[in-house]
Amino acid sequence: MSWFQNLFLSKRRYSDEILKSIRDKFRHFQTILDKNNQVLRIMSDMEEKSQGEYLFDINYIQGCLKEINDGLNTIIEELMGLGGSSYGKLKDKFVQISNEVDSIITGNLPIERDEYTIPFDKLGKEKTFSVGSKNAQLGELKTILRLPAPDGFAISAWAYKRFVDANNLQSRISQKIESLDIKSFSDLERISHEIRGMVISGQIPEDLSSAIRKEYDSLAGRSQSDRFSLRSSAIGEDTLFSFAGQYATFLNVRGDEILERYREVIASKFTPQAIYYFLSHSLAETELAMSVGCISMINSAVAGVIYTRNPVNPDDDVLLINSVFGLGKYLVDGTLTPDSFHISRTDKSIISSSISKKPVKLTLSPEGGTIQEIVPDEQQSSPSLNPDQIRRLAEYAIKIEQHYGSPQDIEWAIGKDDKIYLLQTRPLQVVKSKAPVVFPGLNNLKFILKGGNTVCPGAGAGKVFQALSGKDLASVPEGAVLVAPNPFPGLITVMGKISAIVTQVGNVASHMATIAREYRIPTIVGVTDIDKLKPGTLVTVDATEGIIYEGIQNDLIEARRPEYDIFEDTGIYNILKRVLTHISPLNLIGYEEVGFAPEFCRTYHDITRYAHQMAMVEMFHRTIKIDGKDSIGLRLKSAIPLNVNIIYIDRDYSEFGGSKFVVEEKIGSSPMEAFWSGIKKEGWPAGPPGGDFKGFVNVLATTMSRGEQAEYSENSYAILGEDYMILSLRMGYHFSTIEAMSASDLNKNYIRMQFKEGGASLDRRIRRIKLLITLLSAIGFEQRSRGDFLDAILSYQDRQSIAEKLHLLGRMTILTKQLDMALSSDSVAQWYTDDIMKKLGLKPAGAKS
Amino acid sequence: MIQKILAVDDEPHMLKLLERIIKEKTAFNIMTINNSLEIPSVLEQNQFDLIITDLKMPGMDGLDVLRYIKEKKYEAEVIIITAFGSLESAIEALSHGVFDYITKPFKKEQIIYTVDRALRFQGMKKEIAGLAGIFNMEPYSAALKSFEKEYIQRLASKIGDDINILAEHSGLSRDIILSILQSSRPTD
Repeated sequence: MSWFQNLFLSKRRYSDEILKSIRDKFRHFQTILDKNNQVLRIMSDMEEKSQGEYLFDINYIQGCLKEINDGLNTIIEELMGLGGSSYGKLKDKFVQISNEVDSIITGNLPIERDEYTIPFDKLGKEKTFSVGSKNAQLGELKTILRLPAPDGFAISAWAYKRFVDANNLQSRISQKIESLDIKSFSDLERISHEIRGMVISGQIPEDLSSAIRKEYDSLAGRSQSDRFSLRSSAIGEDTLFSFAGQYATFLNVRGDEILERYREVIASKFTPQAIYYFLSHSLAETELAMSVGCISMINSAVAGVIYTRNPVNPDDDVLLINSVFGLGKYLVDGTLTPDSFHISRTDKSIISSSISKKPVKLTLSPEGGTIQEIVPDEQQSSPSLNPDQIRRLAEYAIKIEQHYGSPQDIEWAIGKDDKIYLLQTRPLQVVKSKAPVVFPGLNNLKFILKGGNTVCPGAGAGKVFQALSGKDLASVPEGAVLVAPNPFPGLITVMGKISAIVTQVGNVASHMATIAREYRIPTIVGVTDIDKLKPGTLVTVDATEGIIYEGIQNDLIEARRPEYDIFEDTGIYNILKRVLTHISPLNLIGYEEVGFAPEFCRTYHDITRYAHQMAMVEMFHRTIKIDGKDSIGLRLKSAIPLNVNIIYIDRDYSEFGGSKFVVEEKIGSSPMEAFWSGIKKEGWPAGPPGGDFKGFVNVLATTMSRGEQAEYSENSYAILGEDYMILSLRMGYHFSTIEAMSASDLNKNYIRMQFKEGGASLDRRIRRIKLLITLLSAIGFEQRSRGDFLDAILSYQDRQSIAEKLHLLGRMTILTKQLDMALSSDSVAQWYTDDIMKKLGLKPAGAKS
Repeated sequence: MIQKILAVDDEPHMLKLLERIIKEKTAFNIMTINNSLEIPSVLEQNQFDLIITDLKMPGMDGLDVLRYIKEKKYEAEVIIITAFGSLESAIEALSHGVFDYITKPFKKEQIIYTVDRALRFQGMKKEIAGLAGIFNMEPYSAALKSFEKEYIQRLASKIGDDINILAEHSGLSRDIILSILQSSRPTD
């Protein structure tokens, strides 16, 4: 704290009060920075754990959350201390996000308020918590992918709540379940019987029944069939816990039976096995609301199931189709051995087929319900599908898999009119093995252009379609490679049907980029010469490496397919990933943008981003305000286009003679001078470095200079004392904070560098961290890196050594500026590492000098 | 023979991950239980080469499990997994002969490596015990018989149980080989 003492001694012009005020602000500020780093470190740690390399348990997640919560609480309190109570708004957001996270951990998802009934064409996967996964995915297939799913509507979880509340069922059900001895089957059966009786005798309240009737009338009006199926779509079904086959489905239901069947589907939530299932999984019955789907009945000639991957050998180029005559129920319930077809995923050809004898089929009875029919002798052993149907099914299936980005288990039916209907899709559980990382024969392919930044890895192929604006989107053909000048928002509307995106400008953190990753569409941005992509030609976009090839390269697409990890589908990874969706995505990007406000914080990361930024702003502005003039905060005057605002904590501002600038030669802070000398030595990069990556780097440089104005408009910030500096550098999308003390007592001296955030994808950010670690290790730093957060410290060095190291840090800062964007592969990263080491005259840590 | 692992943790998530990693990345067998009180009966019915146990559990905790294994003189090695590596419990575990001590969360490679090491060690211990058993036999003829049996069984596992080929490779008489193969068959 020596600079504070200096502060007291050297200041003549300032009153003690002003000094105290600055000191208090500075203390708040430092606490925020400290806590901010701490929270970011934990967040990075959780991200790292989610990558599939670690084994951890629920205590780990809870422990992390507790630390993050404590940290954020402190940050918000301190920010209020620094900037006033208006930052209390941040607390509301924090509590809201924290509740969402808690509900994932405990499984206590509140039932979402929604309409009682929602037609399928207004549903998408985001409605899962309102209508259950089964209904929501049918909506997604229909509205987003525009695939043929039957018409219908969902009766929501909110409707279930209405029914339960109106009949005062909840407390009675809970009482019965609490009294239950789960080990006694007779007890289970008795309680199940009693609860189901209560449900069946419950009255559907008038507002609910009229809503269902109204929706039904509208469906019946546009539906060709006058029969329907009622299927359970419970909240939580088909997700973390499968509940497979536990709830009721009614087929061939007449319109006048719908309300009655609705009640029966709800009652099926309380079958003995269902009660056992949720009790044994420690799930709260109250939160497992039952949504129901009312779906136009497909009178199927053939029906079955597709697995988009061979579940035991997922790396095979195989898709499995099983089929039977009539309704699919005889397949899923095991009544019949179905026909089985192995299809090539690449060219949809039939690899092998096994036709079984199918003596019977289930069909719709004219009176309602289903009836078993004998299949004529001559048909029993004939294939239930023809090659054309198989091909069409396979194409749909691959499309669905691509959309969800994971293997799918799809139910389908083909009507008497030969039309395919997709009835359900859900994740397929597979046992995964490693796919080859290196793709042989890559060098033999003819490429059209190279360059750009990977927004979403993978490869996709199709016909080039140029979209200059939203107007062009209506005519985007299926499977197109979409080429656009910039990532305009409308692109999202066609993401269901395109195979890759290439844009001339754009960055990896844009809204479109986030959505592209969500949809897992191979995407490259910042491709300068997109004119080389002629509309209508067939191309393959290798977004992983940023290369576009001529023609359709199926092997490459397969080789680039993002790999699924062996832990991906485990419960704990699922929980961590869901928790992380509320933690790590960064929605607040630019400080100058309109959306930079507490109400737009959607994740913990947003809160820290906001608080960190506002802490710097407040520290600066409040400090200025204290003085009433601009005499504390000064701008560093330099040819380097990096705006650094400086606050001195131990200097008399009168010596600047009213100037608002500090000249480089008179910074008056030994650590800052050393650091800045390094920055100046390298100078601001004027053009692209030459070398083997010329074309590639050219593109990078172009994007950088374009982005520069927006990205560098935010100020960096320095608090300086004679022997001390804390420099918060904002460069592009990452922050680095360098704190240094270079006193005469070497025991006090240290340099601490913390580094977090980048615009690039996680793997590239991690590569940059690795690069920095190599560099920092070479000059003696110890570091802890977790995910893409780096915390490096060097201590117990004399002044001379501290100055040398700071000089090198300054040079590194320039040399690694925005490098993450360029680090597309480990070999590129190695090239840069070697290059920078050479430039700085460094040898790897441990090497003999 | 494939070596067998028993994993014990009250948290089913961790068991699931352990099961996955062992099944996917090693050639060992794994069984999991989430109630440590079942350990005595499970150990009575099955033989294990390695036990991976959580430290903090209701019922028997990890140290209880370790003590139980050693008390009952089971041959299995024990690896303890813990959330916070407290030095005291690590030292206590060491004094009771724990094979290793792993702190959660840990990397896939770490558990694979540790398990592999433990099972190699376990395999070697068995091998040495077997050899020592032969060396300690009296009279010499019994030791020789036992050795010949072991020798032929190992050879057969490498080159198959064709008597002529075994005789050719080993230089032992076909009668000896035949009697060894017959005596060992039922226990296969």
